[in-house]
Amino acid sequence: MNIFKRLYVTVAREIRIVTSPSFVFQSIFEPLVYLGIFAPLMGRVLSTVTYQGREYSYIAFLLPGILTLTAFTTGIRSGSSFRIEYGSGEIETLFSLPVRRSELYFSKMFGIIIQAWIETTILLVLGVILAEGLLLSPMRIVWIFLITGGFCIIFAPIIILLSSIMKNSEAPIAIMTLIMMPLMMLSSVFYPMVDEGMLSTIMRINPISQSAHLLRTCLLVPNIEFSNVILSIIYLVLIGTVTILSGLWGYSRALEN
Amino acid sequence: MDIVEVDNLKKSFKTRRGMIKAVDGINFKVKRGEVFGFLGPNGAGKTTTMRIITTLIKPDEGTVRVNGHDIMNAPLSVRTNLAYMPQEPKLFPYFNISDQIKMYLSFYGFNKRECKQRCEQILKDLNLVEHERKTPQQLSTGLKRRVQLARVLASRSPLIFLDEPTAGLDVEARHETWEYIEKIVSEEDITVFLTTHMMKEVENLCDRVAVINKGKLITSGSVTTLIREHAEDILHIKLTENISSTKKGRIIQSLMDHDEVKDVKINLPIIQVRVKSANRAIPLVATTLYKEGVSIEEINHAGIQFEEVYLSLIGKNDMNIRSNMTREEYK
Repeated sequence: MNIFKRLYVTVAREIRIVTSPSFVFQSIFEPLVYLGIFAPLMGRVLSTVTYQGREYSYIAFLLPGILTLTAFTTGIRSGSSFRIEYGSGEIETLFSLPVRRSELYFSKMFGIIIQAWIETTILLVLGVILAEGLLLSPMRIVWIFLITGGFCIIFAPIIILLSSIMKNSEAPIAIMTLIMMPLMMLSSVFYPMVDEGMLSTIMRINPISQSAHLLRTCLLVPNIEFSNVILSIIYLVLIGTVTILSGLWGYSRALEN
Repeated sequence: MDIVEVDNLKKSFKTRRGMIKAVDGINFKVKRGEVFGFLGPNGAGKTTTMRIITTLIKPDEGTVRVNGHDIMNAPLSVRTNLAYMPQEPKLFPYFNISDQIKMYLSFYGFNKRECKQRCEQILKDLNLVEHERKTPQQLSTGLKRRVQLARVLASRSPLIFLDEPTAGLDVEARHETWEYIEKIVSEEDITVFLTTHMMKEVENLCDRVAVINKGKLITSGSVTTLIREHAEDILHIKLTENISSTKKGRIIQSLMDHDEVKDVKINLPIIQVRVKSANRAIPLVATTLYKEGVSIEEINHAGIQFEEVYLSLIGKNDMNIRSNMTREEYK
């Protein structure tokens, strides 16, 4: 089999996994829950929000944040599909098949992106129905999908890496759960970026804030300035490159321990 | 040509107690088209060796070639030539049995139609048709193992690795599996490399075996050669009447005086005598018993099973223990 055939087979397998009922249910349910809980809850406190000098309804402000949050949790949850393979022993079978481990790994990333895109679609449809003032041109939609797709695969490799080096199968999820909540709350998902102090620094270095900023710019800002987004893009690409390569390293030697 | 060539293979693992040598410089070859049994007690290094050959893990030292391809330099080419059934009877939870098999086969380059045909055939051959729509959670351990086996056998790879393929199967399924393996090996140019703890399986299936213990290769050869080289014969002598315990002791001593006799065990009315060669020992044993005034109803000669040879090879044959017991009993 040549590389294209191998990639076709491995990607087809991943798509079968993420389109299996339990994954589809999660993909539909999770965005609805986030939007259903946070929009009314935070909307009571903040009815309108000023972002880059313009005023938006809270739900319009929140939607890009929820898109980020969903991509983030999808990455973590999907990384745990590796744990299922590891725990079920299926990884031994997969690693003995005539495909490269990198092909299996990147196909897995592709499967995670597909899942994030299903969720992004659902949230955008809900956004069009519920939020006023969203700017959805075809080019902006392409960018939104690129950002959510790219953002979700920043975190999946961390679970893969932790799962491959830790003998206790529950430990990676425990670690990620521990850092998930602070990352979420110390970001600009639910409220605008704080301008001063320690909290401002933490929020700015938080990749969730950077992704939320990019998505807000795509969805809300009429004139997108290159200088306003380039640093966030470079920052996320750098983090993503490090985590993806670390995940690949961990994945390739998953059975060595 | 040899399909597997293992040369000075070494692998150690780091544990809390320090480094453990799982495989310690083993060498062996597997011939094309044979069923090769790789035997040893738990923790002997069988699965580690198998995992190295199948490129799942890397060796510390040594070379392994599969169908001429080096596992370190050309792992993808190695994997193209093999199919591996792991020891753990586990399957990926999200697909039903039919999909598990079809998906597995797609990795070997079969198109959709071929995958479907091969899947249907193997389900039929291994009596799994009624389970094809079930998910792994609905299957027993034995059935999961059969599904794993079905995937591997349906791939018709030139080299098939089976790590304890029939563990957990019922007797009927075990025999069906043996028959199927024999069939595909005889009909197609397939080599089977298997580990097992069932010596009956070795006797039924294997052309040659290698025995490994504590990471070192003890011996290799055909089953019949190993039996011939390592075996002894057993005589079962049935007496017509009971004998006193004093006489029992005297009989044991008289029989043990012969070089041909290795061990004597008396469980009246049967005397079990382990001897080097039945042909040479029968007249000696019969004469000795006659001299002791014991009347014999019959003498049966039992051929030794491979299991006893295997136990003797890995140093766990209880023959010596039994021998000591009889001597103590005698004293």
